[in-house]
Amino acid sequence: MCSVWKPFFTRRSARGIALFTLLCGAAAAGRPQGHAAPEQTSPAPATPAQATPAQETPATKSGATIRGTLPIVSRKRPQVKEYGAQPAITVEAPDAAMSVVWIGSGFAPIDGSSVPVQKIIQSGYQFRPEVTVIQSGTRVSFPNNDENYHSVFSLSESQKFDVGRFVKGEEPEAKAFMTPGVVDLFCDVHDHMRGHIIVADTPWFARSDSAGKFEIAGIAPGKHSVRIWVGPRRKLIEKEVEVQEGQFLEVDWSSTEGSPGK
Amino acid sequence: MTFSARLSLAITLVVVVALSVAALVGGPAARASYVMALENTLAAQVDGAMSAQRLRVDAVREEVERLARSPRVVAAMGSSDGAVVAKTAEDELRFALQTGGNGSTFVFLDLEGGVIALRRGAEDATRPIADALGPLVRGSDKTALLYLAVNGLVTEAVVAPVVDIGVDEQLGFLALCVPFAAPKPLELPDNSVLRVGLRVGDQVFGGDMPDSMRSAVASAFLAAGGAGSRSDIECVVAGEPMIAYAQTIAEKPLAQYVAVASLAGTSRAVQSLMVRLLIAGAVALGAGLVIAAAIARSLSRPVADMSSAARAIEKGDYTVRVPVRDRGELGQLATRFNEMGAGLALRDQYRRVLDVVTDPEVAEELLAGKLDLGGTSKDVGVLFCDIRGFTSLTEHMDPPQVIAMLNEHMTLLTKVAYDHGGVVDKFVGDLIMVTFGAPRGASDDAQRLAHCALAMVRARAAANEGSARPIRIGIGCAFGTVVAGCMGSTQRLDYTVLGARVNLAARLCSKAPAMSVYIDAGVMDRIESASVQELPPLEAKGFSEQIRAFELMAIGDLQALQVARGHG
Repeated sequence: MCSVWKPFFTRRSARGIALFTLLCGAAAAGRPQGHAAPEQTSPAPATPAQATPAQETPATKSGATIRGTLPIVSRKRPQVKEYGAQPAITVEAPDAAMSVVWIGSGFAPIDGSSVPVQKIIQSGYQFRPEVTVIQSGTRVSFPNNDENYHSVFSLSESQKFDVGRFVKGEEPEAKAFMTPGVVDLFCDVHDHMRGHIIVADTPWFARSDSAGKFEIAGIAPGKHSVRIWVGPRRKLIEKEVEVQEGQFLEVDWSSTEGSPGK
Repeated sequence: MTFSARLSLAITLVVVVALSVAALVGGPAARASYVMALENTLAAQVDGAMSAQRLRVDAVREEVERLARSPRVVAAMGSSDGAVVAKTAEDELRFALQTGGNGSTFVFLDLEGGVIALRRGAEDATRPIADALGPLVRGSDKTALLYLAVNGLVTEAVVAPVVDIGVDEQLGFLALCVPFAAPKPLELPDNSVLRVGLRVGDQVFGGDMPDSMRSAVASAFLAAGGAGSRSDIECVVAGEPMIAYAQTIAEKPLAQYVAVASLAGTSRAVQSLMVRLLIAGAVALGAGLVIAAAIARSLSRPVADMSSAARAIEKGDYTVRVPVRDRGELGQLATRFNEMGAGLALRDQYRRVLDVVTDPEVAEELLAGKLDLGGTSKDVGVLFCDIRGFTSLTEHMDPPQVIAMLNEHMTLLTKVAYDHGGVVDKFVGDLIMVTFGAPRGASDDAQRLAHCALAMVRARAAANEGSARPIRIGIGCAFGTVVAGCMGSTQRLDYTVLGARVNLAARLCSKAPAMSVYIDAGVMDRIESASVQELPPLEAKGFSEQIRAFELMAIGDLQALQVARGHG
């Protein structure tokens, strides 16, 4: 039953976060806000290359570095409806399957104006990128690059919104995502379109490449919770990891087994 | 048994058998065809109801399937918040819920059949439906139409899998539930009511059916066991025979449209048919009997006529005739009968004439065809009797007087001859010739001949007493072999005897004195108890030798005389 969608944040997981915050809150509080992961500095669209190359010397940064592999679940062929539009629209292939990992939690949202606005472009009748990971507080805009109406809405618990329908050039205002969680994006004009924003309340996060490779640097020493979001099946896996100052940790988190996320 | 009775019996049998066959074969056949017609009506009604239902369900199904894949519903399901799901569905299903009418509701279930969301404001009514749906949809990935009996009501549920087509993954189920609305009862031409309901599980719902009908129909179907997608049964509801027709609309759980109608009208129609058959039979029987009587009468009257006519003919009345009523067989028979009567009358007339013109015995033999026309030799007695002095007796008489006298004389002698079994051969003038032994011979021919001769004399003598003109006769008799037969031309024949004895008798007659009888030796040899006197030998013309002859004086024992036949 691992393919079954599970509610993301239940009361129990909320309790877990609270506990974790109690345990680690003091240490985290002292850290500089908006500790950016390497990909935060590179402009969107993200590419698999956003993961920091392993050759980079970890010693140049404070904290620990974790490099490893995330699970990649091959995508089932998505059903693409015939929309009957004239002229016929060409639906491009969605992005390759990617997964997201974020370590630690409980960081306050960053000031959205201090970081670049993330763009999720509607292009080729897909959300590009399909999966975006941001630290809470980051703003996201949804430019329409297609010649048709699109809409963006979400009914996810952490972030319900609906920016309505718009055409190219009618880009709605960028939206700040303050609450941690996974936000599933839909377009109510095109049933097949799916997008995901993982809003992490931590600066230590990464999106894998299509092979599942990732690297996160600058992780404060100590014991941290680990959350892995396996896209596109939206399975959530929870782990724990402990790192030392300056440690370079090579991990294999490619198994979808393990304690399931709650 | 009379012809009329037999004919009536036959017609009654035919009518009764025909009626019985018609009743035995026609009754069930008529009932079967009535039932079939009713079944067709039921099936048509169910078909109509099912078509309407299919149209409705197809529209709903399309809507539900579309929604079960729509991003809003998928997004709502992804939110894991029942309230969000319920609100989203309330908006998205607005139209379908309105179409379904009061009591329409929806249910979201997860893949295990667990409830995710119910229509807000209708949770109490919807939850039992959701609970019933859960086990039925678990594991399914197809749209299904389900009928559920919950709290005594039937819910029609269109259940579609909610699928996130972005990842081709099923999230759960969306069911749109509408209370089942049965078609209105239909009034049939015979004033009975056709009700359409729905059979779900082992119960029947809707159609304004009384409880007794619903339970009777349900248990009848239950008793009938596993049937096909279409079946019909007969059952009794409150003493009234009913027919129920079922057609499956959904399997698992089994749901069937059920149409129920009374068979009372059919029974009445069959009964009325039977009554009409009986009346027609009775009329046919009556008509048949009347016709039989007429036919019998038309047959029996001519038969009775002919019967009585035959009786009359038997009694000798040949003049009787039967009426010819028609040209049919009986008419022809009557015609033949009349012709036969006429023929008989003619023959009778001929016979009378023959009896007069010839001797009755000869006539009889002639008619019987026994006479050998060629002539045969036989021993025969011959008697000649003539009147002495006839010429002088009649010379002063008128011819009619002569004839009258002769007739009186000959009648007398003929009677005597007949009394003694003689055959009057012919009259020649005043002479009468009588034979004995031809055409039929007897042992006492000679004896009767002798008696006859003496009786003639006595009769003549008696007749002469007191007569102004006494007639005196002489008689000669001979007995011997003669030729007897029909002689003459081919146009005209006489039965007579020829031979020397005949001539001898004639000679003896001419020799015999008045009122005396001469006999020859042939007679003499053959008679008994006779008193004779031999005469001197006689010379006779044509006879070379002298002839022995005797005068017959008397003959004894008349009592012993057997008269061979009696004429009048």
